[in-house]
Amino acid sequence: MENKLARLFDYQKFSPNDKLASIIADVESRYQTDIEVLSDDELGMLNAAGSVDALMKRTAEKDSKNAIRSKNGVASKNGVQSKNSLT
Amino acid sequence: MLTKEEIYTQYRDKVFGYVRNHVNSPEDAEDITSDIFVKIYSKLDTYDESKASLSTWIYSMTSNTVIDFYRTNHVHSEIPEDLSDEGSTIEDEILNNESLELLADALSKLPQELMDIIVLRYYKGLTLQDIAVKMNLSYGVAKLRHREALGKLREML
Repeated sequence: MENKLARLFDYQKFSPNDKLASIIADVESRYQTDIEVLSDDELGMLNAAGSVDALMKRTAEKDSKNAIRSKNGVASKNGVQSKNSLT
Repeated sequence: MLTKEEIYTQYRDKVFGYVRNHVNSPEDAEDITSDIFVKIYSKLDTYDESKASLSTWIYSMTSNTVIDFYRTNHVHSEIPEDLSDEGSTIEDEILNNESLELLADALSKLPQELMDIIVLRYYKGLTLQDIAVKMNLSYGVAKLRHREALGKLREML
């Protein structure tokens, strides 16, 4: 029986029967949640949930520190001279 | 009887579609499809329409060529289960549109859970373990339901 079913379903891949195709599509629709591409909205929610926001926060802190340094005429940590020190 | 040209026009997409379904590389699929048509043309005079429909005969050759591809590329372990050539002796009598229709009718009479197991197992080629995970069942229950589904189908087919 198992072999017969395997052959029949394999033949369906070669010469599809409409009625069987619709049953297969119905079953597939119930179990197709494995790989889903996230929409932009869903990606936005991911950002709001954590890591990317945290990274942006750290970058913003770094920027504001560099801005204070450059205001005081001190070269930034990464060796790039501030505008004030150049003038 | 169809001419070689008519056979090509009528079956090229079916053959390629089937091969592509079983072989990952599009280039390999193209090569295999060409090989299949070379075989079909060279054996056309041996085709006996009293034994099988042309569609079944071409399917048989297509399926065997895909199995040969796996064998010659030393990937025996990767031969899909549904391509086992053990079935080649019975295919002439069972492989036609009517049989697929009967299978569809039988499946639609099964409870949904059993129908899902059969389609996932024999069409999608999933293991019972994978099916159990997908369907949120324990492996033991999936195994039981699978057996139950086979029993019911045996009565109907």
